[in-house]
Amino acid sequence: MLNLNINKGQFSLRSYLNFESDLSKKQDYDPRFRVYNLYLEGRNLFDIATIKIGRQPIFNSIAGGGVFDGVDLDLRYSDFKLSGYYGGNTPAYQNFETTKNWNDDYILGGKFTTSIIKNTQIGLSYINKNFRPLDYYATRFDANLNPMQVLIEGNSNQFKFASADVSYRQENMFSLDARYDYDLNFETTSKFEVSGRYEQIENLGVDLYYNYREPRIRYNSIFSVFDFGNTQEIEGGLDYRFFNQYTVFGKFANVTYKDDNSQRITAGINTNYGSLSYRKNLGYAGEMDAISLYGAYSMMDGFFTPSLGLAYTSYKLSKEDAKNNLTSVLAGFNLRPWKALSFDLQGQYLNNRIYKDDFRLFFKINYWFNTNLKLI
Amino acid sequence: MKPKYIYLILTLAVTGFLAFNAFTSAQENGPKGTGNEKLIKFSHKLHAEITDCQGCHSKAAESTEVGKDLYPNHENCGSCHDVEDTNNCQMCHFDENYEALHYRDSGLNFNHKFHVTEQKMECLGCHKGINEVEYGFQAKPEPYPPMSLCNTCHNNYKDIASNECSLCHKSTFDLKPLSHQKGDFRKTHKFDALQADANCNMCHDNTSCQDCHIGNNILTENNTQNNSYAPYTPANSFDSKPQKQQITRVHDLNYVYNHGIDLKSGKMECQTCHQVETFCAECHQNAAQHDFAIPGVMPATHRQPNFITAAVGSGGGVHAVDAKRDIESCASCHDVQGGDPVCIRCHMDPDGIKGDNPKTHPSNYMHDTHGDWHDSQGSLCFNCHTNATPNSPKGVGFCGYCHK
Repeated sequence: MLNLNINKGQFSLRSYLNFESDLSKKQDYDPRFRVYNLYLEGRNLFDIATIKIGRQPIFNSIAGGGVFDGVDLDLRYSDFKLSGYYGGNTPAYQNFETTKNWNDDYILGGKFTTSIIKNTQIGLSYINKNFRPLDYYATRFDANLNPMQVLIEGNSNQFKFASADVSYRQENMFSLDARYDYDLNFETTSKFEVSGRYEQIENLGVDLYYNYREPRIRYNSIFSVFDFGNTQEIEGGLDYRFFNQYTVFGKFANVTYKDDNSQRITAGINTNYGSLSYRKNLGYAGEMDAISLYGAYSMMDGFFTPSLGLAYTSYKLSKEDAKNNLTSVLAGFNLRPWKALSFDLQGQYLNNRIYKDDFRLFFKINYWFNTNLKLI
Repeated sequence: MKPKYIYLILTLAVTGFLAFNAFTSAQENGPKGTGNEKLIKFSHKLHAEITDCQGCHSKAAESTEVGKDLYPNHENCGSCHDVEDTNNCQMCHFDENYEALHYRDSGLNFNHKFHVTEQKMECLGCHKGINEVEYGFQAKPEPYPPMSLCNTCHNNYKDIASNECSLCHKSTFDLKPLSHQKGDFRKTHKFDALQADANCNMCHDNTSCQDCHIGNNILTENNTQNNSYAPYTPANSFDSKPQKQQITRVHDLNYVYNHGIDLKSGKMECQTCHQVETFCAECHQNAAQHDFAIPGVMPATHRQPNFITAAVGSGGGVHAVDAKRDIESCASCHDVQGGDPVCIRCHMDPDGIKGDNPKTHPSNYMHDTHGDWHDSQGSLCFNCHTNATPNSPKGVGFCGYCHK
């Protein structure tokens, strides 16, 4: 994996590349070269604009996949921000090529945000993502019910959403975030969610979360034609910090489906050195009891960091399914003789009905450069 | 492994974990202040009117480390005070306590010489407000420079200084901020990141976000028995810089087996990170058929005798009920890039006679409104209504449903 940035003043060429191959056994796609990022960035141009051109990340829950090939322009002035982006979808597995069908395989969107009202932020956004599926041959029947081969050349699948989000925050007292997604294709509310947190009492946080959600099915997907329901979820939780080290938390959620429901209980403790959590699921979504522990501790000024992870899960994916038990163990350490150089060794153990006492060992060398190469 | 051993190991691990944290928290959970206020009578405010910082902290300008040698010593004080006068010790020392000043390891690498001498930075530029209080720890808002202040230069953006975590922090593992330890942080961090004053980029850059938000690097596409869990290193919340310190994962090692519960319960929206048209299918498919058929992957519901009842008026059986509740689960396996959706095997209308096939659409489906109609052969309608094309005559077959 290579993460190389070349900077000059307000401009950077950023890359995030990955090369992988199975050395012991030929895999179907080996060797694979992935390009996650390769873009030119200009920042704070004319004290207002930031532009990125090339393969770049996009963080949008509707976009999926997180990368596109194109241009992103952000304009920021005082309490206002306007951003827009346009580009092609990346091929599967971030292959180093661009889409050949820009008319049917693109992403376009933008967002306007303002924080002109004290403690409040308002955003309005739009996204249009077309995704061209692969053509394929399939068996169909003619009017006389005789099978025939048909080339399926589907239209581009599409997401087209308008969204609004509002945040209100008073530090150490109260915060409220809400988001509304409207599906422009189906002309229906796709999602509404609201998340509130009250933390005026020292060390105590009270959370409440609610969402209403239509299944996110692409327009032109065969699944869009069926009669389906929506879900509603409500979750409440508490977290409390004590001894300046521990944060204990507990949450309970109920998800309502069409004619059924499911519950989720989570409890645990977080510290700087790791976390311990317990989860229980009930109802339609499946049944599960899971406990997991993960911790690590750096010694000798970061020279040696051992880590340990344990998880035990007993679960049924559905009422009809058999119960499964699953144990996993991670144990390893990191050695960092110098800041820029580190070695990792980790053993992973897994035991379930598919992997009986499976043990694997991983080793990694990591070196990071921190020198401005002044290539430009 | 026998269950009793598993429980024993878990119990020991949990006990050890809690004991370890109790030990470390007891070490770090001292009273506010350094304790020096009980040893020395001192006022930064008073002295700031008499001398500059280096008048007392004489070694600071040449120091390359943060350490207790930066505290003033007798020699420093002696330039003004008569420290040799043993009758006057209580002017500075409490009672007869001559204990050395306490020093708390900051866990930081810091070079005062570079910043003060070479970069000509003012002490009060970082130690803001310290000239207005008695003891250093009383300075507001924080006794030591907040990280956001360091970030004004150490930001990787202005071509001034790197913000690699380990440039300043001796250990990068335990840097998890308090805000990240909230019980619901994973769900709500998206709201935090959208704020105008969000400072995520003090620690995180795009690549660290992408470690989760491009899910393809979490598991390889060949996620079969021969290649179950690869050692990719998505950054976790402890250390999310390019110099990732450990082999870590976003999901638990066992997540591949029980992720279906999160998907159905709405805890996770897989699509936020994963390109579902390709990602799910790599496990939930038979590579040759582009369909799901690997034994053990097929949900148990599918093996029920009444999973599919195809006759008109039968209600469709279990699969119809499940699909109404959670059609995204169906789509995650059956809406595969380049694969023929399995539902078309039954939900089709080859003869153009209305009502003799399984009920598919809700009432008034696409009635006089929008939709992927039939303006091209690629339209969705023709996947099932195979006896029609965009050029079919009105009144015949599928077209006759509406066009009389």
